[in-house]
Amino acid sequence: MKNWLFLSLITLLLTSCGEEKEVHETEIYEIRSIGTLSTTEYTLGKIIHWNDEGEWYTYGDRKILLSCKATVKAGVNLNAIKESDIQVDGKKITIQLPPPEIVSFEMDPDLVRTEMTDVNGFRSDFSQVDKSKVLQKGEESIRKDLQKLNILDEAEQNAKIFIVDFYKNLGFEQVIVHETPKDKRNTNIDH
Amino acid sequence: MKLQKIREIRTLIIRLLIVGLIAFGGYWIYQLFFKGPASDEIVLEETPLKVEQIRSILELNTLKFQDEAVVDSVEYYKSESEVLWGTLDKLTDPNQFKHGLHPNGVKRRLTLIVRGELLYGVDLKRKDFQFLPKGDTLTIVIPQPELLSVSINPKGTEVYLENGDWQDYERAGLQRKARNKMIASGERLKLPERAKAPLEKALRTLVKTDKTLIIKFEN
Repeated sequence: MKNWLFLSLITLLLTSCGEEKEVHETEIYEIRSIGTLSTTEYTLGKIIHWNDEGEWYTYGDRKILLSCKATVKAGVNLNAIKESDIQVDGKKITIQLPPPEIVSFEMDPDLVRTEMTDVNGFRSDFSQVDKSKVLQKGEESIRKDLQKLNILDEAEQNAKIFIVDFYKNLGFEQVIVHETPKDKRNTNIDH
Repeated sequence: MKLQKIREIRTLIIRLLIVGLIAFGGYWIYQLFFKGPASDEIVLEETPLKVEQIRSILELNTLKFQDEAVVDSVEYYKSESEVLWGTLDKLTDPNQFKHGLHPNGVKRRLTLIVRGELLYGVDLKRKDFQFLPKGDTLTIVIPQPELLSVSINPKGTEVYLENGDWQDYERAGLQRKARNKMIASGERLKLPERAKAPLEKALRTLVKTDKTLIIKFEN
């Protein structure tokens, strides 16, 4: 009788913990007007390597190698150009260009591959939850490494070429484009 | 004499057990309270970032749409014996144990909550602008806005429920489904049409002219 009561209590405790929160079907987050000119696209590849030694009470370790690709676009926000940033003097125009920024960051799920897994001891295989966490860390790492690339400089140079061509097509003979100093750039690439 | 010896050995074993328990308890308390949460953190090995391609593009993005979609895939057991073996299998797997306690006929289930970003605008590389000055007016003809990119990333993907074993291609398939749902939402909201106004605004920012400016979209 005592055993039966104990088992019932344990079952009740375990089952009551399985409650899951309600999720919504589709939710519209935000529609925002922008005016960004994307001028440079980088395709990047990375091998994500995680060696999971586990907790102190686990026996054995797990290793995983994932390969992924990311497509990053950078450009300048034309809406940030103020009235005072454009000066027209006859056939000559001077424009102050806004700082370049990362416009989009895309890691195609179809291009994510598990290259290798190694599980030993009493450890369980990598689940999709585990892989998802590893990929999130991989994304963070790629975003961090972006700062070491020339993507923003190239985006700015290409935007300059576009602006010059644009105004020349409009009939201006001399187009002067000023860039934003590098120390005034927004370095937050985790937009 | 013999009884005395047995008592001494028993006392020694009990003392050793107590010392062992104290040591284990101390280690456990240290791991639990003083080692901090760092052990739970995923620390990746340093690997280089490879630049595979650099491309000059010319896209004018005028509308950003952030959306969220829930996608789900369920597979049910087909027979009673499948339920029995499947449940037993789950009960022996620490990751699936909780699903084994509720044998509700579900063999496998994967639910994802995916957040993504859609960018609308015009690709100026494919179709050029046309500047048509005529008398006191300047007409600029530009292409119709279109969907330029859909960003679905790991940071925006949450595995909400994983019951059973799932392969990578199956997860990717669900993410594709979420992507299509977001595109459909964008179309329902007529976002390509709504992307026209900010496009006009961006162009009017750039064009300083004494002439009357007319902005037209290609048919």
